[in-house]
Amino acid sequence: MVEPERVLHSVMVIAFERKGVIDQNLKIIKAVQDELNLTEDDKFDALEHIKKFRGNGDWSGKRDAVVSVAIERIEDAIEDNLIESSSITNALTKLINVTLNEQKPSNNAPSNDPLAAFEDDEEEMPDTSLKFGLEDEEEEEIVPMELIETEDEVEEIENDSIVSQDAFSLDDSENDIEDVDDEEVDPFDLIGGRGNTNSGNGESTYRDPLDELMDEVDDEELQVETIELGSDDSEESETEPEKEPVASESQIIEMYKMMLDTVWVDDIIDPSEVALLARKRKELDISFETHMELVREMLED
Amino acid sequence: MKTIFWTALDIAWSDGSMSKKGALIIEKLHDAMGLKISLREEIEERFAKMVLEDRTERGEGAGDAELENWVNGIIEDLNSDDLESQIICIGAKAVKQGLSKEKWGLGMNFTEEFNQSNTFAEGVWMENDSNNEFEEFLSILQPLENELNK
Repeated sequence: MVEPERVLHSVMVIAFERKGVIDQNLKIIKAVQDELNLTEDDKFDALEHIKKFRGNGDWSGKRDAVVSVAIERIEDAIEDNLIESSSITNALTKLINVTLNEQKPSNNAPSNDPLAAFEDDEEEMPDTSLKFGLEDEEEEEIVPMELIETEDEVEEIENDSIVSQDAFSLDDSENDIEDVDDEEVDPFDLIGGRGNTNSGNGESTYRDPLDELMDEVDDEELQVETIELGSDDSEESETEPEKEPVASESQIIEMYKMMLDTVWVDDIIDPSEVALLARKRKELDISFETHMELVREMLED
Repeated sequence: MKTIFWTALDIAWSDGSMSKKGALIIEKLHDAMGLKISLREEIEERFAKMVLEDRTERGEGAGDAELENWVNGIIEDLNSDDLESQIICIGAKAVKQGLSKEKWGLGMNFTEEFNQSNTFAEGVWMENDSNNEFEEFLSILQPLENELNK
């Protein structure tokens, strides 16, 4: 079971990396903090830790590994029902998908990203409309608006009649979060279908994960399309060899080493991190002996 | 945390001297542990520097009696069927409590003396699925358990 403090830390990591800067006022952070019943001190501790290790955003060259570990933690938390609010879960899932999509170099280009193998985790959440519901170009430009908005910007959004009520309910108050969870209230009845989530920000094509949670019906439709598209693709892929080259052994070792560095970056390992590494060893076919060598190397550094 | 061989030296030299009997018991322990020569050398050098160098009292090596009892218990523990599973259990417990690099190093050093560091590592890194729980641990492992999990 991932500790709630670490889940919040992970959400903060992902959110900050999506935004590109540290912004403790992001609404998703507040929502998760409340959901996990964490105090301001907990949030402060996580913030301080991130400030200490994030540097200018490259996490001492381990950004991708840090993000991957954060995603794993969040997914574990969701799997363990640590986060019960479906709206927050959906938002986090979509945020993860957006982040993963961004990490992928492109759908067709050969992958040079050593973290690509981590992204092929079969336990990862299936990509839905974020992948297929938007054009690739749009995906590249996706920036979680809801996450990057500070409280000051909330008013601006509220004035926009098209923005879903639930979208800003997550950040305005705890009561609103509960409202989102109330299944009796159909958000689509309130907003009359998908709105333009980018209204008020004409330059951005960003689709906010929290806004998207309002679009579940549309998403489901898009998922159907996605399956159809996927089936076409799979037919093509049957005739073609693998599009993405397999990472070399040294790349695999290097990325595993990065994960190892990352999980111990705070000087403490916990069971969820150990389980993550054990899973990765199995997936990447890394022997325990190799793992032990890497541990020794890491401690000697 | 004092390791097993360090503790043995400590007892053997408790009055400032080590008897011949004490030396023989140390050899017996060395063999039973399967302690590597290079590691033993390192431990003895550190012991001499940190403990013996400044010691002025000289006895008759009276620590051998206590040493014999203690070593016999340790050898019994080394032959116990529970030794490996208890080490795995201690490693797994330590992770649950949050294992620092320092404590990882302590655990590895402690168990390396009797060639069980890999077992400890397996417990820490979930390479061994045995989920045995123990309420009490063998005396050879008590210092490790106390250091990591209490």
